Amino acid sequence: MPYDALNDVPDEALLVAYGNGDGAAARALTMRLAPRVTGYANRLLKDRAEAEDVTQEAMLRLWKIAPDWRQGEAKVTTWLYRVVTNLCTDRLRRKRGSALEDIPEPEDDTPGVEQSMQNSARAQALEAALRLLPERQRQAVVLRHIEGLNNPEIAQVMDISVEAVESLTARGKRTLATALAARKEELGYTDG
Amino acid sequence: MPTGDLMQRIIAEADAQGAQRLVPAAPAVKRGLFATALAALGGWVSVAGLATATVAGIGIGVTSPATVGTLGLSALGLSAYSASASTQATSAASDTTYGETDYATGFYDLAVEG
Repeated sequence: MPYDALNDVPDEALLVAYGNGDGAAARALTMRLAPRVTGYANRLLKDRAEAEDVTQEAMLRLWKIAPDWRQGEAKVTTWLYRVVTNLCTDRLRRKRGSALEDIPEPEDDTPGVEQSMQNSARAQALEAALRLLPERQRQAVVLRHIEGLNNPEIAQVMDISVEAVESLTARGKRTLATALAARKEELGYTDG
Repeated sequence: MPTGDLMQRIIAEADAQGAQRLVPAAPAVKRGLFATALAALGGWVSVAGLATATVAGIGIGVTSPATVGTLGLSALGLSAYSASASTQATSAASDTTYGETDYATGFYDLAVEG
């Protein structure tokens, strides 16, 4: 079946189809989900190569769980974001093993955002500000304001309460606002 | 965007996982009654040992001292019967006495043939 024919098929239906042996469904899911997963992982890890490793691992887990997927229990994207969040957290902890404090590393030359966003000053500024956030705040803010998840979904992804999500995003936004304040007009931020 | 290489790797893994699920499990080996009994006895090697022991036992029985056989037959009151086919009788028994091999000729042949 051509990919186009699967464009309107929900993620979950594609996953179930793949679990039943439909390889085209896996291709459609890959095209649809892998870019999002890579972008999210990249924002958390700030490392393109590691983000791709995480993407491959998360997608492999998705393929493995497909035959046992229980329909209606969770959105595929929520499940995937949760897996990616956990994988990224593990990697960050391993990386941090020898570090004494949780201070984000200085920005390096590694491309850190999706190509389209890299071309935007606003995106670059936001990306830089995001890196100032503590890990959990960064996860919550990225999921809420970049990935577009709602608070209950973020709560599932991060395995915390909705109230905790609200607290993390509120604190994250305050930090971002402070970091971006100097460039507010330049970047076109007119609201909180 | 992820690299094309990454997308290819992800799709390849999806295909591999799908193919893995399609491979049927190896069917259970169905054993017949004879094979089951053979396995219970420990296989061909054990059965060969049993056969050897059985044949050896028969051989020992057939070639046991004639007096024992004769005495045994006498005790059963068989020595009075005449038997023209008593070719295996020993010197300790008369021609009219049945030897033990008269009752087990087939077994002796079997023992010889192995």
